[in-house]
Amino acid sequence: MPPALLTTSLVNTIQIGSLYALMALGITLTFSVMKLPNFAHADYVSAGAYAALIVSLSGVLNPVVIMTAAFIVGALAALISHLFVFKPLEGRDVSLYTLILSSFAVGLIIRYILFLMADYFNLFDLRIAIPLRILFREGSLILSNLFAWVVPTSILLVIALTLLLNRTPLGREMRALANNSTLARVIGIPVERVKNHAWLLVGGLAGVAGALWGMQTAVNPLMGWAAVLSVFAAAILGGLSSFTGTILGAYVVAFSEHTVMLFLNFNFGVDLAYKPAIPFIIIIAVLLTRPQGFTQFFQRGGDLQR
Amino acid sequence: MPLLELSNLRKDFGGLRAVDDVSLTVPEGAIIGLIGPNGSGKSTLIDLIAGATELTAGRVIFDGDDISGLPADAVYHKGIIRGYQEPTLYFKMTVLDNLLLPVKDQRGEQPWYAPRPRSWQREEQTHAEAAMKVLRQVQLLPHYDTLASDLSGGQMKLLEIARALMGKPKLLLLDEPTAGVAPKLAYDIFQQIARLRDDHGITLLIVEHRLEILFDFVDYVYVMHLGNLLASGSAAEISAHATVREVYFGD
Repeated sequence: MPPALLTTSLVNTIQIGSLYALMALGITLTFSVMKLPNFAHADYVSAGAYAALIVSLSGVLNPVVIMTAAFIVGALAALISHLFVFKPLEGRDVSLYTLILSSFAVGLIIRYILFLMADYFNLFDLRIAIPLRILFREGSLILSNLFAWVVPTSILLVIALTLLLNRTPLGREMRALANNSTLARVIGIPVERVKNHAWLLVGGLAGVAGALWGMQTAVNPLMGWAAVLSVFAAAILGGLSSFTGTILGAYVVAFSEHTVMLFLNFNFGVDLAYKPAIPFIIIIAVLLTRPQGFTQFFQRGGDLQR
Repeated sequence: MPLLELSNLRKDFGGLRAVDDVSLTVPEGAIIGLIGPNGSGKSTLIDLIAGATELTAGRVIFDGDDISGLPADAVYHKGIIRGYQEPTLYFKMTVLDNLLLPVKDQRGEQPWYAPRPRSWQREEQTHAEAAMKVLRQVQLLPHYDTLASDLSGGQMKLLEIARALMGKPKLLLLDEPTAGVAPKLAYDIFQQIARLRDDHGITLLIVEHRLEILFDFVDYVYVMHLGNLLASGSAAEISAHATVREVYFGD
């Protein structure tokens, strides 16, 4: 594989991996605290991307404003799906399968609301129009201002989330819920309030991920859904319970999809069309061989373990 | 007026009636024993009072308020706190974190304050000092930074009691506080429990199998059998009660 291709693919790995990490952490948090593998998470990403797109089309090109709008819309989408679907279902003591299926349904509803809106206002496949500039060029290594927004923002948010979880009273309560939610109720932790806050956080971060995603590719109602398997693969690598494991998992998935895939293509003629199979292969391989993912390596790090 | 009054409490699990028409009262400042053979409905009764299980019928009056049907966290904030047979702690958290979790209305639990430690650090410090004070009382102070899973069985029980104290309870429900603890330590635990009443004015309802220890500390005893209240009286009366002896000891 020529070095130029390798460099480009590694830049992609870092950029996409950071976004995967941001999305996968939300899935891990939802699974640990709310006990829900939430497939609608993908569509909070799309909803956030559309919020960002609409703000940018209105002429505001400040990335911070754009991301704030995406955060708010993603957070609201998550809170509404909790209050109107997941919480009533939990109150009826339904099985995990029912919850998973209902999360698919919630995702579909959000996705097709976005389709209707995009159709009406003709908002298909537009990029969030942050002006593109090349910040750094050295041989084949090209870094745009997009890279400078996406990577540090994702990493900062990931760090902020980890600190929030491990160093604040709110995070302490979320960890408690992840650990034993019955006990949380019995010792007087305001479980419902903590859950609402967790949903706002999870949805908001998904929305920001959508905004960042839409800055580098194009916004369409399927964008979140297209990434959901890769993101779940990352979360499963993290054992659905470890933050560090999930972040590592996100980069592993991105690396396999970009660098490894290109390597296979270039050296063994494997068609690039097989790329979507990679997350499937990772998920199956991990679940067959190490269902706990990376968690074993982070005994004290992954505090969401049960 | 009694602190706690149960009238005609009933709990069905499918076809099984675990608690059948139980009425009893707990006066303020008393230590009350609740005994009975395994499966007699004692733990279910505790669950019903704490709001951990939904009532089928009956009323729970606490401190003049009807608290029947309230969820467990609301019952907790009314001042009824329960302990468990098996130590129920956050084992992956430190002793101090276990005590800070139940503190009500912390500023740092609000999402707009949480990311700004300066807005809640002083308050957290106050709570931590209160926690340290409680830890000193139960002689766990040196272990404040230990993971709860690294404590001994007896220390876990003490931590549970400490956690209950953090909630400033009026009524403490203890389910076999000495289960799985060596006899010598069991007596120590009961001495600690008695001090909760003497020093803090906390009322106690205790489920216990070790009658020889329990009877040294209680003011009054209720006996359950097959979901019903079989007898009640002072420790001496219960020890001499013919039916209780038959059911309980197989005499």
